Amino acid sequence: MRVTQSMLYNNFLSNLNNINSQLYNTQTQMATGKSINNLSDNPIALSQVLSLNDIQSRLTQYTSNINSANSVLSAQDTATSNISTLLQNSGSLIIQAANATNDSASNASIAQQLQAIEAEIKNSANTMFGGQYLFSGFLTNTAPIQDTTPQVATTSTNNNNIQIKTSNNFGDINLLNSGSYSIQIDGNGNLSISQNGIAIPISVDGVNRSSAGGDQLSTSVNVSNLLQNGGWFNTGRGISIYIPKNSQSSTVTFSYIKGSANTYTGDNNNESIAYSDGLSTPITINAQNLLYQQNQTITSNNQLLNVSNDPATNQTKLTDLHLNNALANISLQSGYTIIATGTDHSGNIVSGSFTVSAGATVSNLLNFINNLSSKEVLQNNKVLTLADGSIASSLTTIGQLTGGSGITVNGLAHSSGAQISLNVSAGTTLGSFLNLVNVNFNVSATISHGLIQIDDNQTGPSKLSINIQTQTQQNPVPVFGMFNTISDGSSGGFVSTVSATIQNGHIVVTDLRGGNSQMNLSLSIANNNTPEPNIFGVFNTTTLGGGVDVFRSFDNAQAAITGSQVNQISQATNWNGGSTLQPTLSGYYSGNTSDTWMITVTSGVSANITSSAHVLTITNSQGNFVGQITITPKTTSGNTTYNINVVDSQGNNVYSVNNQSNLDNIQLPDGVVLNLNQSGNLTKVLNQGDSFSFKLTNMLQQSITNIQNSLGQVDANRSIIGAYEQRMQLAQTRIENLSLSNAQAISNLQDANYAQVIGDYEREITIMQALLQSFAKVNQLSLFNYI
Amino acid sequence: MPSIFDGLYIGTSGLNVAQSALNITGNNISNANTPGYTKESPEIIEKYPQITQIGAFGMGAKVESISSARNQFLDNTLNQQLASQSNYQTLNNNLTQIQNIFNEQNGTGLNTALNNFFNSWQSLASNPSLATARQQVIQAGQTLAQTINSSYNSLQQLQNNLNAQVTSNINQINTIAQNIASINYEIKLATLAPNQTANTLVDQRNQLIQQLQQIANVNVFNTYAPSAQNQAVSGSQEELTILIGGMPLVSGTSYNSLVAKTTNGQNNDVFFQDSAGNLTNITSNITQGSLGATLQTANQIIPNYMNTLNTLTNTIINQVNILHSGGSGLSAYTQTQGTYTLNNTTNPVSQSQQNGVNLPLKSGTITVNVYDASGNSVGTYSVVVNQNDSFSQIANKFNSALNGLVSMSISGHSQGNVQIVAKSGYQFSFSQDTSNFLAAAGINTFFTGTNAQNINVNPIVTNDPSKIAAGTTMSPGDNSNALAIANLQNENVLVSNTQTISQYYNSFLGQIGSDLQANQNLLNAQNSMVTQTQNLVQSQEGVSLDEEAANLIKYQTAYQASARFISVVDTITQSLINMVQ
Repeated sequence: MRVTQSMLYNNFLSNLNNINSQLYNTQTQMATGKSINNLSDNPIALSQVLSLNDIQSRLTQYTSNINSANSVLSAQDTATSNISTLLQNSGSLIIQAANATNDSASNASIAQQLQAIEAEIKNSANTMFGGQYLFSGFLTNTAPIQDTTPQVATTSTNNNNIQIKTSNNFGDINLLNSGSYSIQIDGNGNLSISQNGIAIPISVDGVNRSSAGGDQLSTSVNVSNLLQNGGWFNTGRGISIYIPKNSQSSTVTFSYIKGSANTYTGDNNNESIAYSDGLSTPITINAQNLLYQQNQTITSNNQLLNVSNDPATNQTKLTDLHLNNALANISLQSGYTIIATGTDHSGNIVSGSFTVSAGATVSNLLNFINNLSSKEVLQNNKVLTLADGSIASSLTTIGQLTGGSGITVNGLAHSSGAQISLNVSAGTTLGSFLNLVNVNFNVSATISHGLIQIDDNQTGPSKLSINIQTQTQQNPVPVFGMFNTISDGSSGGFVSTVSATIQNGHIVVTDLRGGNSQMNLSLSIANNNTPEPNIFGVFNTTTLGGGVDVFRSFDNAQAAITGSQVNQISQATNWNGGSTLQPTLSGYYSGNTSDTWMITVTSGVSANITSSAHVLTITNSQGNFVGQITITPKTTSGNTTYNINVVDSQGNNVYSVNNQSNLDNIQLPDGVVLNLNQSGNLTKVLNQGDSFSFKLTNMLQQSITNIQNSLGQVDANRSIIGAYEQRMQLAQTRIENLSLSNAQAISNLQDANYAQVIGDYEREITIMQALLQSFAKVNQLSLFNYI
Repeated sequence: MPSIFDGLYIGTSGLNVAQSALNITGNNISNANTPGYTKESPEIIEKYPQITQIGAFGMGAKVESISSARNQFLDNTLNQQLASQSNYQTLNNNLTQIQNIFNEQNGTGLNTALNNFFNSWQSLASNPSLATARQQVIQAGQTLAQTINSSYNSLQQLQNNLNAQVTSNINQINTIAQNIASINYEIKLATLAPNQTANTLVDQRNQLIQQLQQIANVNVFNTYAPSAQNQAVSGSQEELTILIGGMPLVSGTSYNSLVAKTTNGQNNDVFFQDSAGNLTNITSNITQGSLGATLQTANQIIPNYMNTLNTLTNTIINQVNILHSGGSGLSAYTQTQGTYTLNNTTNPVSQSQQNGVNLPLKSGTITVNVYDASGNSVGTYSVVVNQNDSFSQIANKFNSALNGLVSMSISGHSQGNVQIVAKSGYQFSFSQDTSNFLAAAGINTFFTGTNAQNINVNPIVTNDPSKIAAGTTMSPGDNSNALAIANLQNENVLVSNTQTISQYYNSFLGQIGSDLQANQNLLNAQNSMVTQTQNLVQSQEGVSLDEEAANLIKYQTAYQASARFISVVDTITQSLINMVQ
């Protein structure tokens, strides 16, 4: 090949450029320490590096989140640990107070100490951290526990003697919501409170039984006894009403602003932080969980979607509701019926049905749930058995039960209260008989395991009652026993005690009454009585009702120590047999321990109380003898009077009265008063062997239990905080490891390998020197030099 | 038989030939470094002999012509390779500039700004009522917006520069075309006489064609047979035609010109102007040379990158706004106004949006919390929106649902910004919007703008950080919305919901990187090809000084020999004359 000078020169230049550019790269790598200095250096590795850098940046942020969470958690830990210590101290103080030898001065001092501890617990729960309240959910600018003042004012009345005042609500009944209400006392002495025409349930008897078996609600309470002399009635929901003498047919409207001491004023949310991609965790607990009773919550398990496949909201039309396609492509149709059945807080059965109309929304359905009322259900208290001991069924004839006699059914209709009488012959089977009852009383009666259950077909307050007596015998005998109410139609059901909402497409029903709850609900769907797929799914309990109101426990303990009458007597259970005299209890329990008493009919020749003397024996929960009641009837010219005698366990006479016309006000030991009312016009029967029982609560003793439970509740929540702290620690360790391996990966991808770079550098320098020298030498050679 | 004086003639012809050859050698040496110069050599032939009875006597030598070592085939190859090289080189320069705009390696780029933005929401979620955390969110939002703006503006600046470059390239082409046409004319004149060559002119013209080809891809036609080597340039050289984009730029001695015109506001297109003044758009045909590269960058690559940046920005704006507009800050509004304009109140909102908003409505619910002047809740109101609702329908629903406490209107008669105003003594906040209406109208949003050029943080938020919607209630500890916004960075919201925002941006960077890398590889390959071809050309056409030195010696010796011959003839003649004396 012919080689010209300019070729030599160009070649030299080109090589020099190459080696220079290589040196430039090598030098940049040496200076920056990175092998990727431009986007184009290695686009694939660069993409990886950028992604890894993104992750790294997030990890740094998560670490910062976790550090911030840790400081909040540790502040909560300190505060709750303080509360825990305070509760332990208060527990020993109450035990000290329960020591009966204390004088009143030392009890007053203990009460004062408890008051101080209560205030200190409140302060701890109101702890601020970084200028924010720790335990009030999202409302971090609001102290979680505050005293709010309730207010009540009469707005109009036709009876100026009726007074209304605010009072504490009973422990397991929620306060009324703020608003306007009206009170009515009808001609029969029935008291009811309503708002916008809807009857609001109130305490069934105005007596606090929250610690002794629980309170019951009713939308209509008979206050005839108060109307005789006038007196205060405590609704248990934040107001008490003074019912003047003979104030039948009165109406009052009043306005009420909700409030009470130590109210939780935060919300139910807990703050969350993100501590990893797609993972977030709550890091706070709120004072509601820590120091108050829990409200039962049930949640439907299917997520309902709206037309645009977003979670359904209040405004979603029912006909647009559907489920995720993965579940099923089903939806509600106009004309379908949604049938609701369930139980309220006290276990009364609620039911109702809702017809889906074209424009109906979820909000309408929730409103329907909120206003579900209870239905009356009666059950007899005597298992029907045949002579051979086998249990009666629907095929059994009446005669087999009565020994050949027919029966007379007397009862009252649901709404009118009209008397309904039926005569049924001995040959009728129970099945036919129950059908007869169904038709005449508009009920659904069934027999199962020898017990007859009668479900009212209508919901709401019911006058329904049924008595069944033999027809032919001289003294009619209630062979079927007594029909007791096992579900109270007047309890109000879900009205104003339940709140149904839709959250993220799930229906959430919250029992507004705190504590143990029997609330439950199920929805089913039918089209002309044909069942349709149920898009709501089943309701699962998401929060179990229960827990303790710590402040109420303290208040009760202080009241008990200073001698206020705060002990409680529960309502009596029904007889476990065919006895017909209905026991109710009153008085003030003065015993030193909480107990359950059982009263058993231990002797009586005839079941009929008017025919022979009866002895009722009282035993306590240990089976020890507490006392004995002797009732001796005396019939002169058709009128029966009774001599009643009560002795205590020592044999001392506690109560003795002669020629009493009724069986009320029987004074038992320890201040308990028993009334044996006649139920309807049934024969007064006390069967030997029948018994009923009731609970007695000594509030001081109860307080020891309550404080222990409070401590348990606080410690359970502390362990939640502990679990969060542990989760943060684990997350931190994981993030540190992840971050380390990420950093390694980034380094592998983008950091220069110095050994290689320096080797490259040396090589390039050598090449450069060789290039320069060889060119210089070649350049010296020219033929012209020799001419 | 030749006479003694013929010997003098023969000697003189030798002197002449050697003299000419020496001059040619000298010219070669002088032009050893002249670009485009092709080595020349004398074509020496015998003079016509004197025919005698005993045979033909040679009458010396003469220089018939001066030939050039030009290899047109190699020249064409080189020109094409140079055109490609110039294309790749220009592309490389442009792409490197783009790369510098998006360089993330020093930790201050858009990616960092994105990460900081989402991290600031995380920090806010950890401390939802902390004023510093709110300020940080605003700062990070502004930094993000500014980084996007500045990246976009840099791209636009680059595009403007390239457009200026297009104009300057076209001026160059026009000048070259004019020069080539006039050289064609001169070649025509120079080659009128037979045996006349115009080596210098052709060298010049080749140099111009080479320059032209480096600017743009042109087709060069002439009747020259490229297979013949070392051939004198023939007379038909002036018929050379140059086509650019299929249009005759130079046709023999006449030429046309190109003009650059802006067509759709941004693109600078190249038009061919014929002698009658008709314009033909030839932009799409210019694919090579530096102009091809410039056009490709300015009209395709940069707009493509701008679109990607706009898509990214639009997604960030919409996704953040959808979440933000359905949330509440720490304080309520007494009145507020949307940042986007609806251009029609009766068409569905999706069709009435300001150009570029691009946020369709869904059937959903707007939930509004109303408070009295002291912040006590008056109620929660819901407005159900259908996806095809017009503004009028939504406003009617809103106003009837809110019962006069808060009212919605539009700032103009039939178009304008949505305004929401509370009745005196009331205020409001939002706790949900599953319909996207608020985001589409720009109410209670975090970002304003629709694309990379105009993204900014909503001044309502900048002026009052308490309006940052960290929650869905006004509770100071409510961080649910901040968490949701922070979580956006993990959600697949781009490319049919398959990529996260960061993944999308990173793959964009990867694309820039690999575009440049691919081009660099091509450029490197092209560079070595050009070097090789240049060597080949130099090897055939270049001047070798050693060779010329040898020629110098050769012709010098020939000259000395011819001179000696004349001297001998002179001596003979002298002897003859002396003999006569």
